[in-house]
Amino acid sequence: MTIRCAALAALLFLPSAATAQTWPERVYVSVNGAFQATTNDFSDRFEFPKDQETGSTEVDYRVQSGVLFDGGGGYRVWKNFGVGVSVSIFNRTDAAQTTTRSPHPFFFDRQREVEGEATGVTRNETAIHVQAMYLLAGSGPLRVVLSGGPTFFSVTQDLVSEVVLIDTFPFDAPTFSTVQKQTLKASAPSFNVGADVVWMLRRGLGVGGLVRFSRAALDLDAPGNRTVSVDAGGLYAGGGVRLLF
Amino acid sequence: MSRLLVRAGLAVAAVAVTIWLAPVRAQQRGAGHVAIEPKSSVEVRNVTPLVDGMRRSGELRLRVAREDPIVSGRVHARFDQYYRGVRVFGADVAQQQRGAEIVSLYGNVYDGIDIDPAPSLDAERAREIVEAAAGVEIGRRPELVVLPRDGGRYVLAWRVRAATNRDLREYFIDARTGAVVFDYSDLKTQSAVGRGTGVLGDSKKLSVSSSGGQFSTTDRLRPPAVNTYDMRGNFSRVNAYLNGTIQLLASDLATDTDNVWTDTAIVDAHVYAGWTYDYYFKRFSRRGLDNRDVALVSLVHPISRNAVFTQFEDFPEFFTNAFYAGDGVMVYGVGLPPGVTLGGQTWDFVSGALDIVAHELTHGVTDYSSRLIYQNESGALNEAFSDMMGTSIEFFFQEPGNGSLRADYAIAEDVVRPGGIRSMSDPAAHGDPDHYSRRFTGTADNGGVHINSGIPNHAFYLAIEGGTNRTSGLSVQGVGAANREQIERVFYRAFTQLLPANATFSVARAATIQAARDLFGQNSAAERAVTQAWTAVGVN
Repeated sequence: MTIRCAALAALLFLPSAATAQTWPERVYVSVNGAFQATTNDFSDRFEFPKDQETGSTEVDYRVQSGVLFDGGGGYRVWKNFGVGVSVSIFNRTDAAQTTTRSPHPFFFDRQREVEGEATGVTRNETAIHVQAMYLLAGSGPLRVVLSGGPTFFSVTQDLVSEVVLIDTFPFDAPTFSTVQKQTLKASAPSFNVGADVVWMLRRGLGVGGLVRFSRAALDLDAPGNRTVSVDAGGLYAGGGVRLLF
Repeated sequence: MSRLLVRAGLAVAAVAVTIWLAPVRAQQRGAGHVAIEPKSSVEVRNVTPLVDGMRRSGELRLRVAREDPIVSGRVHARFDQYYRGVRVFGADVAQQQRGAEIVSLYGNVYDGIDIDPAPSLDAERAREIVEAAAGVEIGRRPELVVLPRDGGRYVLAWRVRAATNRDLREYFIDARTGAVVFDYSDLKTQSAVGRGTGVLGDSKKLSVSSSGGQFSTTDRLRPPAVNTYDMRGNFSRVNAYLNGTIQLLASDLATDTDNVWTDTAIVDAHVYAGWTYDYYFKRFSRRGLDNRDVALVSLVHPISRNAVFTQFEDFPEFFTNAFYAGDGVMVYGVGLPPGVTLGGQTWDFVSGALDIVAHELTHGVTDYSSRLIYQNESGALNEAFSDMMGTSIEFFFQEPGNGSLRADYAIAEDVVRPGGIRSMSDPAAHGDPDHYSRRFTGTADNGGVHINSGIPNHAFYLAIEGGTNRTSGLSVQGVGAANREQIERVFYRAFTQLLPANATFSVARAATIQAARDLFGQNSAAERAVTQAWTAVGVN
């Protein structure tokens, strides 16, 4: 669905074939501020030995939509065809909800459930988009770039590794204290498609609007031979400065 | 010599004046104990003459001085207090200096020491005493110290450290009498939760301590010390301890190497002592037997079961009994060997019954509260209160029902089979009276303390469950099992706060009715149930 939306958006801005011309410039530089619309919430569950039993913690992570930086450039190789590379960086800090079931120190089968919130859980996504480009120029100041190609995602994610409880005698009602976190990294290949509509303000300088879709599924290798699957990327749109020369 | 004496006298005077002038900076903490804890540079300056005076007089001797590895220009010095050449154990001062300026000063010193520093017991003899106590050979020479004790007393003692495979223990041997005046484990331990099997084969958790890969039955999770000792059948040692002639050592604690406990009697004694503490805390906000977290000490295996044929006559209480020995100490009998019966009943390890453990500990609660005299009616009330609480604790932790590990109104039924030793629902089933008109009036059993307990026991039962007393035919509308907490609180309040030491059944009736009114109001269901119950058992 999101791919179709991106394609539709690109087509709306596409100069008609009758007016399309080859760009006079060879080099294209794009710097954008954007908004990633996709949310990438995920959850995790891990177990831990405690007091002769096994406890567990479930964590619901929020990775909400947010601001993203995108920058890159391209080179027109032949006629309307070019190659390019861009980098998008998305950083986000959200809270995660934890639900811990902790064994009672005095009794078997009497798990105490404690809910809490882990704050300051960060997600950093860096995506390198390698692109084949189709560059179109209209008769006026309008230019359009259609692009697509492979993407290499690198994700750094904080994961809750331990929930610290305040647990005192008689140990019937522990309360949430804090969490221990660890930062995990993963990378994965994906793809990207996008369109950039440029309005030239004067020779060599313009402004543009960008829509790009790129998404990947990654596996974080967590301690205890666990794998935590997360999604990264999604649809983002924004605008910025264009330099053509 | 005289000049030295004058200087020493001046120093002592300076110390005394300084302590007097600076009560905040150097606080008197009990007789003879002075805590040096200045909170500001001004206070440091004020307390410095005290330390300087003691240094000049030789009471404080430099132990070590080192440059601060982190803050340059600072020097840390530690001084030990000496009394006529003998180190005072635990008395020292830590001083931080920047050049000539004293930045901080903390310590503890003792004044008013007045003992002869010459030991009449030599170091070799002290070492032998500890070797015998710890069961190891010690090569290190004992250190002569002055040991501060409570109440401003001081003991000249030999300090001996003994390392066994279980413990690293500091012993202090009186340098005159050879008695162990103080000992403690210097092995740093931490709490642990183990898994154990109880007398009835049930699996349960134990709160224990771990140290150096060894686990021992010291509960570090509950507020009081809960220690369970494995006496390994050494009944003479048990008697010596109960008579106060020896102290129990860390090596007497039950131990395990993998934290999976298989000595069922140990497991249940330790676990049920903890559960009993928990019940009193949760139900009544009571902190242990004395309400001040007195230590709970359980002695298990006071005798060998195999000695039943030779020792039963001399030590019956170590076989088919459990008893509260005062000051938080319980002793649990070992029961009878398989195949041996008493009165047609088998006896398992007595600590395997939750109601027995709670019963014995409740005698401690009574000891620390009403002190019901253990004779005649007050003695029967004493026994009955222990049965009431023992049963209540069963219902608190176990599912109601018949059979092992189920909450019911039978006493000791889990380990004395079949039937247990008493019944609260039907005292007559064990030959005990269920009505005041049938009370035992002889002198045996301290005037029938265990026999006549059936009367208040049955009143407690009827107040909860309701029913009809077989002798009087009177019916009682109980509060119902779902509201048993009401009757537990009523009887707890009456028996711990209202009853006098020589209470009669009649006084117990009045006190429990009063407690019901206090807690639940006049004409409440609890008051009605308690009143009807006492009337039904013939106590007016």
